[in-house]
Amino acid sequence: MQQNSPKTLVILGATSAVAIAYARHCIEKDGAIRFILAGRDETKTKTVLADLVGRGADETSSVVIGDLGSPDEVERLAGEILASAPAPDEMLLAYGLLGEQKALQASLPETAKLLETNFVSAAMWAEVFAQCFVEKGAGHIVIIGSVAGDRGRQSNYLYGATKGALERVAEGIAHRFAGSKYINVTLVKPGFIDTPMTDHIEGKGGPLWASPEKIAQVTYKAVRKRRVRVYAPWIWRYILLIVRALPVPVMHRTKM
Amino acid sequence: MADPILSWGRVHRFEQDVDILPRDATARGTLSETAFTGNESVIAHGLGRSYGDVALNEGGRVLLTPRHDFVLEANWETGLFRASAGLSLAQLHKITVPRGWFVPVTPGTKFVTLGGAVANDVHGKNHHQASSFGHHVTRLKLCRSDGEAMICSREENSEFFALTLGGLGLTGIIDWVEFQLKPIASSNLFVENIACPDLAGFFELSQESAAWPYTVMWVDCLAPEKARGRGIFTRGRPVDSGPLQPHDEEKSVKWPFTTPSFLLNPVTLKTFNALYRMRPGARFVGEQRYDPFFYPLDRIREWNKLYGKKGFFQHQAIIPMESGREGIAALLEAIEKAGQGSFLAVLKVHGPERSPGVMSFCREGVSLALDFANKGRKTLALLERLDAIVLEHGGRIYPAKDGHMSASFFQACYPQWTQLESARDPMISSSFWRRVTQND
Repeated sequence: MQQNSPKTLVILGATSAVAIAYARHCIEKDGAIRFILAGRDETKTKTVLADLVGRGADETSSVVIGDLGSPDEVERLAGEILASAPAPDEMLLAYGLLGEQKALQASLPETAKLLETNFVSAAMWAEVFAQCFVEKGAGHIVIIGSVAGDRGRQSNYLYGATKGALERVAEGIAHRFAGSKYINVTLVKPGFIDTPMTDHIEGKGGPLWASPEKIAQVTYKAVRKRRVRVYAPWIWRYILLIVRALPVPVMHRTKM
Repeated sequence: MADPILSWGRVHRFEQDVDILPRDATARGTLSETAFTGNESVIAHGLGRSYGDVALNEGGRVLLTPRHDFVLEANWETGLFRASAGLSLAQLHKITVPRGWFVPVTPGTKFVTLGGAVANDVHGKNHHQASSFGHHVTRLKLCRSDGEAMICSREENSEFFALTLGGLGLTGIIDWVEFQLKPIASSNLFVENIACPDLAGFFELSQESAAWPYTVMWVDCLAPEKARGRGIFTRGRPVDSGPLQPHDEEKSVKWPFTTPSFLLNPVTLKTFNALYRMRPGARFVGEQRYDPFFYPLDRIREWNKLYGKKGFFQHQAIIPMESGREGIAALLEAIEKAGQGSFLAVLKVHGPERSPGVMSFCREGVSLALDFANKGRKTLALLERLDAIVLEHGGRIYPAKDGHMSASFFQACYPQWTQLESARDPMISSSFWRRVTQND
């Protein structure tokens, strides 16, 4: 049997539920992939690595440990990642904080941390890999955004702002490489996902909640089709179409 | 959590607290502190495919395990596989089938966790050759509320090992399970479906098919007396070469609504059974993929809603060989007379039990599994009549499927229950266990 060298996939925030589901889904579909799993918690990240190798990931997959969400750390960690995988094929950016709007409103340091983690560092990572893929001539940047970025709403506008801003970055990179068939960006915008990050939300469950596996499936298909932007699942595209279209006086009478 | 935690029969609706066992509990060593908090008792709850109340805990807590799904070690040379107890067989097959390995024993749904397979010591169509799931388990890790973490096997902590297989989750929280996979050359099976005229025919076909690894019969339990035991006998064996392709869950459909109960009556049942017996696939002979062969009902997500708002009861009994014919005939007669038959009644000849499980359901004999829409007292009365027949013929019924049996009946069927009670973790309990151990 002829063995091509395996595809290399860098995952930033490898212990997040969506990242794990996506990595597993890619192995199911494509077989042996080499993963570079970056995460803050060494024990957790290594357990994810063992799981993926057990499921068929390439044996040379490895971990990089550090605080990805801290802008001061990006350059150093990027060096480490690119040292172990000089020419990756794909990067998935999956880390982020949800934050609690009321707590954020009451604390400037918390707000700064949310902005730095979800946007400042994330935009830097996107640039790091854009540059890397320019040098290589090919590559795919996949970013997990959120439907919350589509309109500022009282219940979570700071989180929404970070995801909305990240969308502008993704959009811009996609535009920058519009002429190149081999460098691509996909921004995935999930709605409610059933993960540990949302376990505290009251009234969780119901038809609008999707599993991380569902988000992974949508992401995989969108990446294969080189879509620039995709809502996950598709229903959110129409929900947000309505939310964005609400006139301000109407919007202000709602509590969303 | 908005939706209450139900079991598959949807009969028991309990107030209980719900916690989720996190994925990284093993890596962090925090499993027992997550599992045991406060003074409330707890029971592990996987994918909710047990029918009654073995995985429910009224007034206590249930610990949801399906997120706890890491693969820990996989040896593709030997087929020895170790994973966190929340991993489902559905996920397992996606990993193992492409590499030519399959679960050694599978129940009729792939949506069961490894922990659930151990706790109920599940069996499948190959019981006559392969015994129950527990026979293939090599090691497991048990976490107790006193903080002790035990590796259990046939050699090490062997008493806990034997009491945990079929131990209904009561001996501790199962952290991970290690077991031996079975090699397959293809994900397809060669299958024969044969019309069977009556009960005598079933026993003949079972004997004639003893060399086939998988055998089972769907039985028309509303058949009149002269055709009692008629059905479709199915036997299958893995083929020697072919594709190694895992199943595709995206192809399933969902039962669209909870069936109004007036649609569940003897006429619809008889019509269903007649159609089922005469449907085009009922005499199918040929190659079939493993998914429709082992898991026909998994095609319809939430098929349990077919039984309406009040849910349904399952009754699976096993009767020793020597009184098997008589016992099964008596059960079928009682059902036919009551006119409360089920859509999917299943008969199977079991082989000797080699699982070390002390409380395991299976033994050498014949089993009959039935489901009954919950029509209140009428249904409970029928179930009690069936229990009496089972007891009279020296049989017992399957806790994983039970939602009704009395304490005295249970204790008569499973006199060894006291061993499990003494090994039970004091912080673990279930509605089932309280029901069958507190004398009525």
